[in-house]
This record gives sequence, structure tokens and C-alpha cells, in this order.
Amino acid sequence: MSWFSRLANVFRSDRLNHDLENEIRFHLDSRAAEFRRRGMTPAEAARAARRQLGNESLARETSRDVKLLPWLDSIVRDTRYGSRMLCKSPIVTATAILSLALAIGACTAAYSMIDALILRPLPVREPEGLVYLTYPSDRPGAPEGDSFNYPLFERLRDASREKVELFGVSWPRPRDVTLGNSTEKIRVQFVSGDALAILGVKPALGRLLNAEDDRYPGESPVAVVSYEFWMRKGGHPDILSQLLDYIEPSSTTRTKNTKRRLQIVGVVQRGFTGVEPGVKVDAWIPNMMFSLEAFTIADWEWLRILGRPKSHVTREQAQHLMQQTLLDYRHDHPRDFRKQINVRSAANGPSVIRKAFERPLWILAIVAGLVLLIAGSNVANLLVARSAAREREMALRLSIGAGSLRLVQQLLIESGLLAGMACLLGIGFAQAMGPAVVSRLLPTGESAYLDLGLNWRALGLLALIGTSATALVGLIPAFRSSSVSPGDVLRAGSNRHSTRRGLLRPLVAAQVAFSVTVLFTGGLLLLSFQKLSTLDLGFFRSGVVFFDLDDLGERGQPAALQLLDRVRQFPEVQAAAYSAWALLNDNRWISKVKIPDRTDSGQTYQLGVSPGFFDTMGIRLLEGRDFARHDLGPNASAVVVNEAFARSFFPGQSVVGKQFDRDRDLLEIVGMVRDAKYDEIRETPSPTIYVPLRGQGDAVLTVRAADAGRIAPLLRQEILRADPSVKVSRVTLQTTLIDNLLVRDRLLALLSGFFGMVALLLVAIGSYGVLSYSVVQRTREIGIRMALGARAFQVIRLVISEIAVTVTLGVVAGLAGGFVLGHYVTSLLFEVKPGHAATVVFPLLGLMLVCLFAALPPTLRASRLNPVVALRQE
Amino acid sequence: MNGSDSVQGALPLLVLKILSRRGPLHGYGITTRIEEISEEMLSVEEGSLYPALHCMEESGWVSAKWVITDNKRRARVYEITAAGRKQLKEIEGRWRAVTAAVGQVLQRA
Repeated sequence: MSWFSRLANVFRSDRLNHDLENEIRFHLDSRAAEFRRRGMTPAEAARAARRQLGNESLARETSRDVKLLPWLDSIVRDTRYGSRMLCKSPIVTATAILSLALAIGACTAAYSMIDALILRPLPVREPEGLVYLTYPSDRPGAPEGDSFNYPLFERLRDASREKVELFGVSWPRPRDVTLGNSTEKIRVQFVSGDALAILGVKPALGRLLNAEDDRYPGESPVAVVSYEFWMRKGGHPDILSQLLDYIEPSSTTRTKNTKRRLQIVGVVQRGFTGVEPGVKVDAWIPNMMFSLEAFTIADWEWLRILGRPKSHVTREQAQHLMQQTLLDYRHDHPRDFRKQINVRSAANGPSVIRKAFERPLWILAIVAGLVLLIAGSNVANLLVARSAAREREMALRLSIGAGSLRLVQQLLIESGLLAGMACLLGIGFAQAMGPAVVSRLLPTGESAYLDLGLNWRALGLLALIGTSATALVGLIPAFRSSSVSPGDVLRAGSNRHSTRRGLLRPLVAAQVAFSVTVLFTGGLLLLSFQKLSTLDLGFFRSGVVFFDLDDLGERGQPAALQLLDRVRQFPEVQAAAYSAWALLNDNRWISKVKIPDRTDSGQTYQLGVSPGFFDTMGIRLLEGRDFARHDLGPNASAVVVNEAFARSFFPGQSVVGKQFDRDRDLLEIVGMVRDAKYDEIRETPSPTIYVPLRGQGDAVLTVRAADAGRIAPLLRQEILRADPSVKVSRVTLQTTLIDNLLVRDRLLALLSGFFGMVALLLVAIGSYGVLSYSVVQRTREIGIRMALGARAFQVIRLVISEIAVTVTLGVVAGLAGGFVLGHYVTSLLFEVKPGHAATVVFPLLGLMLVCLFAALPPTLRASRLNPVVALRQE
Repeated sequence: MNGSDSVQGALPLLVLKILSRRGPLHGYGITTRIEEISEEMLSVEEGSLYPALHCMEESGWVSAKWVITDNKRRARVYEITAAGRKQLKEIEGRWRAVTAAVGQVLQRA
């Protein structure tokens, strides 16, 4: 018989047993029949036959071992036995598996995100040879910038041609693209003609872009598309004959949108989705097809510069070269703010999402890892407690000759079963959690995409987690159980619980420590998020909705004001006004300000608004007046400033009536309003001036209405009915706008809060298990004490004091860990410091409450022990 | 069993030889044949016969199948295989060489 049949026999050992037994029975019967023929009585004959055969079961066992793989057989048998044991206590098992699975799932999801966003190299030729250019921010502490203007890019590219192949790519831009008769929102990216070739991407169909496509503005209307886009469109080769239509929105208020029609000339290799992880690009277009101004205006910072140094050029040499070129460029363009250029590795692609989420993801991974440790030690706890309950079983098996290794194997298999099931379930959790989290990485309306497919690295990690979970969960109880001395245990009443406590204590302490760390970190993040979401922005956080109106200015001011009047008459509308754009919406206009008769000058944010804007937004007027219709005239010079402006340019004075120069216009302040956030939620108020919106280009109609979310679609229809020529390109709720700015904070707070809850729950389960077990172990001792007159509260103290010390130790260690991790989190926090009282007190209170609840049932059980019953049980 | 010698070491040899001469037999049949032919001088330790048979089965020297006997019982019948015959030749040769050597020593010592 072959190896295979022996393997097969392991799994049909019932039949094998049956066959072996039948064969021997036949032998015995034949022998007995012969003995009967020789004159023995049937009973004698049967006995003699059996005697002659010798040890029947030994023969059977030996044959069994011949017929199958003994080690495998024992594993299979232990697995069957183990699953029976696990099914015996379904609640314990389910808790163990669920908690492990949750933690494993969280770890895997966090890891696969980290892998996709941070670790995985770009799918191009020799990704480690890629670099990109950055420059230090002029604000201290702010991340490096990597947007360049075209003139500087050209200068750098031409100067370094011999040593570095440089190419520029635009930020991926979402565009409505029409192919045939279907329109889809995809991201397009403008790239240097030779970008894809330098990256080393291959075409799957047709050709790539080349330098010829990128010579003169507007000359070469071609595009290559991604493999996925091609597949979405049917995957036919005739895509090469098709045209791609899209509208390039005007980038300034002065120019009109441009309709473009591009010829698809190729499909790039499968799996290439651009150079930025998380942002999937579907079409690449030559830079020269971008707006004309982009190539001449030095203020347009729209390119990232990537490159591949030639093989003999080190990164230092490249950096030196770039720096020289920059100095050269600054000589001609003294206004350029860059002072230094750095060459950074782009092996895994420059990424905005990574910049924002690298640290949060590591934090989540650490927190998930801690939760995994808690879950693991929790299961270990449960198993220790249970193996103690099974001590008699183990002792019995040892005393009838089971090898202690065999017992270890059996317990390991049991915990392996647990861990295995948890891993499987964990993969499911990870598959569900990962994409859900990724979809929240970018503001709503923009979809982030990360390839979270289970690759060998993720699976390897999972295997590692599974193995270590098994080891952690299984080994401790296993060695404990196998080292029992059968005699001691079987001798009833022997009291050896002290050694066992020695094992459980560190487990509980570690558990408490980990969960305090998790709770502490989660508390910091939650508190920070709570501060951010209740922060006074200087305007209403809700009840306001923005309608982006395209080309309002084309139609003249009177028509625009007429529409405004119509909107204000709608019954639901409380107030309405125009502004050039919504605050906090990633648009900024910065101008130079000079005060007449003074030498100092400064910068200020600007926003064009119509009369009624402050009332609509809820920006309180502190001094002077709001704009009026007559301020909208072409020669009016009225301006409203904020407090920060007044503080920095006219400290200690009343500002109304004061005048100042803005870009050579003399403006007169007619009012002062409260500070409102302009660019970022976390910013400190910056000088801001509001100027009358004279109606050029696009504008945002800002409407305040109760229940804005519900009536926004209705309002949109009413606006269109009121003025059918108006085009509403987008409707945004103020709440959505703010939510989008807090994506990262919400995500972190949500997940860390969730993990905190899981940690608390696990600690509750853990300490309940340990206390229950300790009460069971000490039943006899407690019984004696009570028989000798101990009061209930003394018993309670006895039980509680045991765990109290452990918990305290854990809390101290956990707080220390929390401060370490908290330090790492600090940069993500808003107005919260790791030392914050609430973040220390709440986790501790929560933990104590939970421990108290968990301790209640076993403690009560102990205090209600009937000494007579307790002692008789032994 | 009394007075008869155990044949533990030579068990595979005897089993293979009997199977090669007498055709398919069940375990009990093999036992009785050995006892018969050796005129009760040799006896098989029955407890170890079956593990030995299964071992030979694993090694591919014998094959086994279930048959219904004359008295309508299911019995497991063993048959020597080609590999078994080869093996038999080899161990029989070795056995003869050893016994011949032992015989010589006994004669000439």
C-alpha cells in the first residue's frame, strides 16, 4: 500500500478499525471451532483461543500503526477530540474565536493598507531607481511641498538632461469623460510625453505617449488609457479608433471652459494606475494639452517632478545639480519662494494620502496589534482556566501512560483550531473592513483606491499572526498542564493554586496594560476629534448649502442679483448670498496689503462676497456695516475685514474708515467681522478681507435654510425654474464640507474608539474568567475560612485583593505605554496633550467599572458559599 | 505452544513460502499450515502474525482481499505478489546460507 493509502486511512480510520477487528474475530472463531472439535466446551474453546492469540488490542494497535501514519493519525484524533472539547463550551469558544478574529482582521486590514500605501513599490521598471523633487515648506513644521511650475520644470529638465531623466506629471484631476455615448467620472493626468517610457511602463495595446506628443501647446490631442478603463469599456482593440471627450474647466475666473477631444492611441500595461498610490488614474494626456497659461505663468504650481537618475549618477549628485539649477532660475525669477530642492526616493510613489495617513495607519496598526495581544492573552487566560478545570483529565491521561508531549500536542491542536478559525474569520473581517476604511480616506465624492488583494506578504503576516497566536494561546496552558504531577492532582484536595496564580497574574496585568494603552490613545484621538467637531469656526457649521453656479458672471450682475432676490423669496430660505467660493473649500486668494504712510506690509486672504453673506453664513458683524448694493459698483472701494486683520494692521484702533492698499487699489474699511476659518480648520485666524463680488465667472450661491440637507434638491429645482439659463454644477452641504476636512480625524477617532471598546470588553471577559476560576480553585479555602467565622466582606476582600494588585500594576504599565504612544500621536491631535486629565481619568474609570462588573458575579458567588457544601465537595 | 519453538524471526519467510506454494490463504489458515507442516514443532505467535501480515501488505509483498468462506463467513485472504516472490527468493537464500553456515559450525566445532 502506498503512502497515499496510508494517508487516506487516517481519514477513514473507522473502517480500518472495523476491518482489523473483523479479521481477528475470524481468527478467534476459527481457532475456537477447532478447539471445540477437539472436545472442549464452547466457553473453554473461546477462552483458549483468546489466550493463544495473546494481547489482541496490542496486535490491533500495531497493525493500525502499520496501516496509517501514526503521527498524522494522532493529530486527526486530537483534532476531533479538540473540536469536541471546543463545542462543549460554545460560549467560551465563540468569544475566543470572535475576539481573536476581530483583532486579527484589524491587524490584517491595517497591514494591507500600510502595504498598499506605504510599502509596496510602484509597478514599474526598477521602482527603486525613481526619485521625485521636493522643497522645504516656508512654514516651519509643515510637510515638504512638491508642486512646481512649468518654467522651473523646463529649466530643471533641460539642465539635467545628461544626468537625470526628469518628467512632470500633473495632479490627478477628476473629469467627466465621454467615450462613445457613455460618460464617466475618471481621473486624468497630464504627463510629459516621455513620462511613461521613463517609468518603464509597457503598452498593452497601441503605443504609449512619446516626446513628439509633447512639443507645442494644443498640438497633439492624444491620450492613453488604463487597462482597467479599457476593460470597463469592453476590452475591444477598436478602442484605439475611439475619441475621448472631456471638458477642461476654466482655471481662472476670466477664461471659459474648454471642450477637448482626444484620440486614444494606446492602453498601458495591466496594473499600472499612476505614480500615486491610492489615486487611480485612468487616462494620461500630454502636458501640452493642458491650459495654455500653465506653461507661462510662474504662479501656476501644477506639476510634480519625477525622474530617474542615470545609473552612474548618485542621488547626492542629482540633488546638487537641481540645487544649482534652482539658484540659476532664481536669478531670473527672484520672486520664486523655493530656496532648496531635495531629491527623494519615489520607489513607492509620492502620495498625498500617504502623507496624511502614514502615521494614522501605523497608529491603527499598533492599536490593532495591542488588541490582538489582549485577545490572545484573553484566550490564553480562558484556556489556562479551562485546562486547570481539566487538570484531572490530564492527570488521568498521564497516569495511564499518555506521553506529556502528546498532551502538549493535544492542547496546541486545540488552540491551533481556535487560532485557525479566528484567522479565517479574520480574513473575512479584513476583507470587509479594509475597503470600508479606504473608501473614507478621501473626502466624499472622491474615491480612494488601494489594491488590498491578499498578496503573499499579507498572507505571510496572517500565517505569522496565526502561529504566534497559537503559540501564545496554546503553549502556556499546554506546558502547565503537561507538567502536572498526576499523583498530586488525583489526590483530592491537594491545594496547589498558588503556582497557577503565578501564571495568570502576568497575563491579566499585561491585558490591563495593553488595554489602558489602547484606551488612552483612543481617548486622546476621540477628545481631539470632539474638540475639532465642536470648534467655533466663526460661522454656522450646519444649515447652510452651497450651489456652484457656472458662468454666472457672463450673464451680468443684474441677472445674478435678480436670481438672488428670487431665491430669498422661497419660503424655506432664511437667507441667501453669493460668494466667489465657499470657505474651507480648498480655494485661496492671497494679496499683498500695504498701509499708506507706513513701511510695513503683509499678506491677507481675500474672498469676494455679495451683500448678506455674513448674515447667511453666520459671521457676526462686530463693527461698521455689511456691504450694500451700491458697493457693487465698478468704482466702489468698500472692504470688510476680520478681527485678525484689524489686530495685525491696526492694533488697538477702530478700523472702520481706515484705508489701505491692496495690489495698488486703495480700499476703505466699512466693517469688521469675527474671525472665520478660511483655509483649514486647525489654522489660527489669519488676516482676511472680504471684497464685493462683482460677478465675474463662477460664483457660489450660499443659502441658509432650516433642514438644508432635505430641501437642497428641491431648492436646486426651484433655482432652475426661477432662471432656466443658470447651470448648477454642484450642490454641497456645509456639514459635508466640514466632514470632509475631518475625514482623517473622524476615521482615527472612530477606529481607535472602537478598538478601545473591544479592549474593554476583552478585559472584562478576561478578568471575569480569572476571578471565577480563582474562586473555584479556592472553594475549599473559602469554605474553611467561612466555617471558622470569616465574614462575607472578608471573603470578598480576599478575592478582590488578589486581582486588585495585578490590575494596578497593569494600569501603571499601561499608562507608561500610553504616554509613549501618545507622544507619537501628538502631531495628529488638536488642542489635546497626552497629559490631558480627561484622557487619563476616563480610561481608568472605564476600566475600573468594567473590572468591577466582571468581578461582581464570581465575588458574590464566593461570599455566598455554603461552607458545608464547599467542604463536602472536595 | 508448549514444546514448540517460536518462529518470530523467520515469520515473513514462512508466510511468503506458504503463500507461494499453497495459494491465497487467510491468517488462520497460514497459522495452521505452519503448524501442520512442521508437525507442531513450530508455532506462530498469533498476536504478531497479523501485524506482520499488514506490514508485508504495506511493503507490497502480499495483497489482501475480503472473501466469503465455505461456511459463509467473511475472511481476509492474502496472496503473494510478484514483489513478494522476489523478496521470498532473497530471504530464502539468505536463510539457507545462514543455516548452512550454522550447520557447518555445529559439525566442525
